[in-house]
Amino acid sequence: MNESEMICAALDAVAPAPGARERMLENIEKKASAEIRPADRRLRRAILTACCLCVLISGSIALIPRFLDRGEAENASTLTGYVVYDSPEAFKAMLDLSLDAPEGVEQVRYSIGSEKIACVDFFAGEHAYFLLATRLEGDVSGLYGKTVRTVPLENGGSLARLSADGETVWKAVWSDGDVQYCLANTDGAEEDEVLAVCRAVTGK
Amino acid sequence: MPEFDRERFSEIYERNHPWIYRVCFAYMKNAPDAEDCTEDAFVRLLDARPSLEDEKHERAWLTVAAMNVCRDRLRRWRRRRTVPEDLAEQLPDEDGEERREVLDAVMRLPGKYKDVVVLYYYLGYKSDEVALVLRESPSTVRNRLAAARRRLRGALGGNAE
Repeated sequence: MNESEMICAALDAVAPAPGARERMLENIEKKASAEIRPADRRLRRAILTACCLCVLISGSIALIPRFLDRGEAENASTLTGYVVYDSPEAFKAMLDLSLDAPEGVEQVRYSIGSEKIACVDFFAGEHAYFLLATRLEGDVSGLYGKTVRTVPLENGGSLARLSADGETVWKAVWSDGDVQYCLANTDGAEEDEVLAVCRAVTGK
Repeated sequence: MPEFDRERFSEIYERNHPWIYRVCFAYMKNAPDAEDCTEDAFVRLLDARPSLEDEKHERAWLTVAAMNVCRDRLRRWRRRRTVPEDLAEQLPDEDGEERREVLDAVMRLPGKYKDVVVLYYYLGYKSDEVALVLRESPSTVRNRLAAARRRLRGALGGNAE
C-alpha cells in the first residue's frame, strides 16, 4: 500500500456515528435559522464600511504630513512595522551598522524596525531567513519556543532549535562588540542548511 | 437563492457530509467536535451561497471551509489554554492497528501540514491545485508536503513509503 492509499484508508475508516447524519442536518437548520437575517447583515456591513472609511480618512490626514517630513526615507515603504530600503547603505547611514545578505541568495529585502533594528530578509535554497542586527539589549527576534537543541557556532555564538506549537524554529545568535546579531528560519530548514547560511553570513 | 433551495442543499449535504466529517475529525480528534465543525462548515455554505461549478469545486469549497472552522475553534481553545480531549482510541477495533496509527500520525501533524496532506492525498489534488486552494505558492506547498511526509514517515517508523 502506498502513502496515499494508507492515508485514504485511514481517513475512510472514520465514520459519523449512527444518527449523526440526521442530528447534524437538524443542527445545521437550527444554526442557519439563528444566523443574522440578510437585511440586518446588509445594515451591519454598511455601518462597518462607514466606520472603516472614517478611520482610514482620519488616519490618512494624521499620517500623511509625518511621511512628507521624512526626507531620509524618501525611497522607503512601510511594511509590517518595518521601513523598507533599497540597499544596505541605509543601515550605515541611519544605524552606523554594516549588514548584508550572504552572496548567492535571492529575494533580498532590507528594512529597519523601530528605527533601531537592521533587518535583511532573503531566500537561500528553498527556505526563507531573516538576519537582524541591533545595539538594543535583549532578544529582539520575536521568536519563542522551547529550546530542544543548542549548537555552538564558530563565531562564539550559538544556534538553537526551538519548538513552538509543534513547529521548528532555528535561531542563531552572536555578538560583535555592542552589536548583537540574530539569524532565523521558521519554515522547516534542516540544521546543516541553517549552519551553512550562518557560516556564509559570518564568514566563518 | 434558487441555487441553494432545500433540495439542492440536501443533495450537497448527502454527497459531502461523511467526507467533511472525516476532515473535521482529523483536526478535532473527537466525534462531538467533528460533528459540530461539520455543521458549521455547512452553515457557512448556506451563508456564503457560493457559485459552485461542479462536484469537485463543491467538495473543495466545503473542505476549505471545514478546515477554517476547525482552525478557528482550535485557536480559541489554545487561547483559553484548554485542549480538546484526544479520543482517537474510540475508533472501532476492526479498523485495524495500522489504520489507527496512520490516522493518529495524520491527526498529530501541525495544521499547515495537515491542510496539504488532506487536500493532496485525500482530495486528490495536484500540488499546484493545493496551492490555489490554500492561496500559497506552489513551492511552499511542495515544501510542506515534503515536510509532512518526513514527519509521517518518522511517526510511522518508515512504513509510509
